[in-house]
This record gives sequence, structure tokens and C-alpha cells, in this order.
Amino acid sequence: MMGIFLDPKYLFTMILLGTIVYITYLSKRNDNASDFFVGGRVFGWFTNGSAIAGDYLSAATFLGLAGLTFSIGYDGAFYTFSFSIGLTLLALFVAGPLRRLGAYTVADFVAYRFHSKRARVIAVVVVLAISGFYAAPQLLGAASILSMFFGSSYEFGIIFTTVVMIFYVGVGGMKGTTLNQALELWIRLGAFIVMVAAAIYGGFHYHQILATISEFSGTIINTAAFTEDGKDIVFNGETWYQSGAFNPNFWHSLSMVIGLALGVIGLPHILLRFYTNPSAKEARKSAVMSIGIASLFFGLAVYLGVVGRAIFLEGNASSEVMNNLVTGGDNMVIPSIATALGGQWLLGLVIAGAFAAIFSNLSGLFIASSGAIAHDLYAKFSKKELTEKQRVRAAKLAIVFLGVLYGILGILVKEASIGHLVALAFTVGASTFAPIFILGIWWRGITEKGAIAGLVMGLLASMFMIFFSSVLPEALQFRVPGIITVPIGFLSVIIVSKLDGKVPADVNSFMRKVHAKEKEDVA
Amino acid sequence: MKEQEFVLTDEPCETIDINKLQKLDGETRYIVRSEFRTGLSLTIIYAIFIISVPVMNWYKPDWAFAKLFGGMSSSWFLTSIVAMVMAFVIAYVHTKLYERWEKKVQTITPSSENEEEKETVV
Repeated sequence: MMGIFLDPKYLFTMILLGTIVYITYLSKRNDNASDFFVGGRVFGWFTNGSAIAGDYLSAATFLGLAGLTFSIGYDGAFYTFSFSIGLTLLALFVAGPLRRLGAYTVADFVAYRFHSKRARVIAVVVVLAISGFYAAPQLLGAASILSMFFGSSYEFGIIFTTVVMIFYVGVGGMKGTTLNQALELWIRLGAFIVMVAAAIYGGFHYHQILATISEFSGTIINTAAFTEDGKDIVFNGETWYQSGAFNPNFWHSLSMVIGLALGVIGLPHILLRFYTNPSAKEARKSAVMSIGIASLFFGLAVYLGVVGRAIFLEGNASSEVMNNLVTGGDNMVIPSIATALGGQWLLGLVIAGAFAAIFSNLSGLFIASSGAIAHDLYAKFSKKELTEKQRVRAAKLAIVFLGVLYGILGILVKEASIGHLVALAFTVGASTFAPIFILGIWWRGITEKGAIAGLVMGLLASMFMIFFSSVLPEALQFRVPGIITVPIGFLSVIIVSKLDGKVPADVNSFMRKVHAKEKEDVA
Repeated sequence: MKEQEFVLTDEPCETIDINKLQKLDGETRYIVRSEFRTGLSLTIIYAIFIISVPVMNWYKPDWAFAKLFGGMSSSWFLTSIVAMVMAFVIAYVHTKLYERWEKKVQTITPSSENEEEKETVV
């Protein structure tokens, strides 16, 4: 029995879980809604910057981006490149003004900006849609890892992760979540840095392995034993090295950039984090810090994907590694590289890192969605005035409800692709909240009807392009349909606002509040 | 119509025709424009870089994937290394420019509580 706990993957995972329990216990005191939803707005730029990066770098990025680069080559790197843009745009146009507003949730912004309960309800629907698209693949990732490395069933994996999340977010609130996210970020970044150091030490120099891969053409040795047809895999390095494996033309590449870059501005769990800083200045610094970490992370992920391909082409890795690279799919690439470079100890660290990524991202989604249900729906539409304790209790009940809901979604998406579901969440965010936040902060002419039209049209267009795009001509079918849905979202807001022309009478005062100088807006 | 004070509530407030809306006061207009101009100019630089990568990949592939050193082509270099540095540099420069601009504004308006003084800034 003790032997199990000396196995690195058990050891590192238990250390991670123990740390989560300890931090959550220390942060359990959440007396009021401000503590629970925005951590009392006390987190400085370092902690919050780490937590934002932790929120953003999900399982899809920790496992998926290197896996994509491994399998589709340059287009995987381009996918990563598209992910790296959004946080910078968020820092430039949204982070500071959003913090100055001083609200609790994403729907608060929409409701306060236009003084509209209707807009609040629609914003809540959008928050839940984005969170659902995002949470389901995270649970899928967690259950897959538990099943692959610990031998549990898929369903047990979903239930286990959901229970951990209910405890983690329900007890710790935003305070516990932020501290856990910050810690978890450094665990997975640490895992990546150790892997990169091991790769460089092992002689995998970027420019050299790229040259080797691009010049490779033929069969990969030692792969026949793991393929269905019993033949060695054929690989063409030149195709892998150039664009075209995922995006068939320029417009698909552009659509991906638009959808993934603007999608970040519409992710509720990322937007929410800017409310937790004590001031707009700290919010902006947090954004810069998170961009630095995320950029480093993305760069390392692409490099590790290339290293994985080089290891695979050599064909000298252990049969366990070769088998996982052939049959394990994109998400097994990082664990396989870790095993090849550093054996079971590095694999243990990477598994803990993967759990850290999943917990970190899921906790952000739980907080954002519980705020949408408890604060935006229950507290705002309740006929009686709720006390602070009642609001916190409502949020905790919402977390249990969301745990059940996300758990069911996780079981339903068992066969889906993690990366694809996350890209869909980005598409909805880019087409709904991104237009509302950018125009709402910078344009006085936006009206309540315009905002509602933007949210509804952006959501409908995204859903149509996600589920029914096959009815359209082939030229209009995009894997990430940002090039169609984002203009629909923006144009709906602008056209309806222009036709309506009735702006809130306090819009000038709103502009003063969100653009006021730093010294006037310290919380 | 008299301008209303913004409060954090979703209770309905009066609306006003956009054509009859008063101009922003001088200081706020200056702040909004300066902040937007800074963000926009950096975004344009960033956007040119971002768009140039797929344009180069699809319309000048021979150039984009020609090897510069080892197997590193300009496209791989820009996409996987320069883009990551660029994302950080743009955000960092924005923060620094904002802080410098903020100091400048505070020097111009030492007592910004006075509405009349605010009007004289622009």
C-alpha cells in the first residue's frame, strides 16, 4: 500500500491535493459577498497576475497545444500564436476601466452600464453557455488523465473532479481560488521549465530538430507494433513544417486569429479576475504579469511539441512512450515527452501539473458561474433584501448545483475533442461579451437595445456556426468561425444602437467613472 | 435634459437621444481620447505584425518557410518566439506609457477635484 504513495504520480498528485485542502482551509472565512466573489479586492499584481495566467492556461493549453504542434506541426504553433494575442488586447482596452467600475460579476457590467435587468438575464445566459462549453472539456481532460494514469473509470473521474471543485470553490471562495490558482500556475510552469531544461540537456536544440523533422520523409521505425494495420507510420516532414494541415487557406487562419484573440475578452472567468485587484493600476500590472507568464508558457508548449515529434521520429524511445504517442492522441504527448526525458518522476510532476491546470481553470469557471446564478439572478431578482451571509450561502448552493450540471455535461462529452470545445467557448465569448465590453467602455452611443441585440445575435450566430454550419457552402464552414460571428456581434450592437439612439442619461458620468485617473479610483 | 450621476444599479434610468447628449467634460474627454489613442496605436502595430504572419504564410510561402538558421524559418521564428515576446512587450509598453501619461496629467491638474480646473486642462 505504501508503495503506491512512493510512485511519483501518486506522490505529486497527493501533494497537490493536500496543498489545495490546506490553502482552502486557510481561506475559508468569507463573511460577505465581496470576500466570496472578488476576494475582498485585496490581491496585488503578482498574485492576481499568476491567478489570471492560471485561469487562462487550462488543460487544453497545458496538454493540448504541444499535442497539436506534435500532430499538425506549424498549424499547431499558429493555433498557439492565436491564443497568445487576446490577453494583450484585454490589457490595452478593458482591464483598467473594468476594475474602476468596481462590480462583482460580468453581468454586473452589462446591467449597470445600461440599467437593465433584461440585459443582466441575457448576460447570465451567455456566461452559463461559455462556462458550460469551457467546463465540460476540462472535466473530460481530468477524467481522461485519471483513467489513463490511475486506472479509474471515466465516470469516477468526473465525479471525483467535481467533488474536489465543490470543496475548493465552495469553501475557499475567490480568496482560496485565487491563492490556489496562483500556486497551481507555478506548478505547471515549473513542470514545463524542467521538461525544457531536460530537452536542451538531451541535445534537442530547436533549430536542429526543426531541420531534422522538416527533412524527414518516409516511415517511422518501431511504430508498426502499435498501429491497427501493423505497418510503420509514414510521415512527411515538409507538410508538417508548413501551414495547411489544420487551416486550409488564409481565411481560416484569419478566422482563427479573430475568434481566439477576441474570445479572451469575452471569457467571464478571466474578466472577473480584474475585479479582485485593489485598483485599476494593479489590474493593468496583473494583466502584464499574466501576459508574460502565458507567453513564456505558449512558447515552451510549441517547443515541447516539436521535441515530441523529434523523439517520435527517432523511434528509440521506450515501447510505452511510442505506444502512447501512436495511440494516446494529442493529450498524451506532454506526458509521453516527460516520460522519455525524465522517467516516472518527471511524468509525476507533469500529471500534477495537468491536474493543477484543470483545477485552476475549473475553479475560475465555478466562481464566475456561481456569481451569475447567486448574485445576478437570485440576489437581484429576490423580492426581499438578502443579507451578506444569505448571498454567500446562495453562492455556495449555486456551486453545488453547477457541480452537478457540469458533471452531467462532462459525461455527455466523453467522445468530444477538448481543443474543439474550448475553441467554441472562445467563439461565443468573442461574439457576445467582446463587442459589449469594448464598445460599452469606449463608445457613448451604445444603447440597451443595441447591447441586448449584440448578445443575442452573437450567441445565436455562434450556436448556428458551431452546430449547423454544415448547411452553409463549404467556403463558409470554419473550424473557428470568428470571421463570421464576431462581425455579426459588433454590427448588431452598432446598427441597433444607431437606430435606437436612446442612450442612458448617466453615460457621461459612467465614462468619468471608468476612465478616471488612477489616484481617484483606489478602492 | 440634466446629466445624471452614474450609480451601480440596474434599476431603469432615463434615456436621452444621442444627438442631445452633452459633450463629455474637458478632462474626461482628454483622458478617454489619450487612453484610446495609446491603446489604438499599439494595437495597430500589433495587428500589422499579427496579420503579416498568415499573409506571409499563404501568399509568400517560399519566403515564409525558407530556412534561416538550422530548420528555423522566418515563419516559425515569428510565430513561436517573436509573437510571444511581442504580446508581452506591447502590454508592458502600454502600462509604462499610461503611467507616464498619468504623471503628466496629474502635473497639469494638481487639484482635480475642482470642476473648473478640470475644464482648463484641454
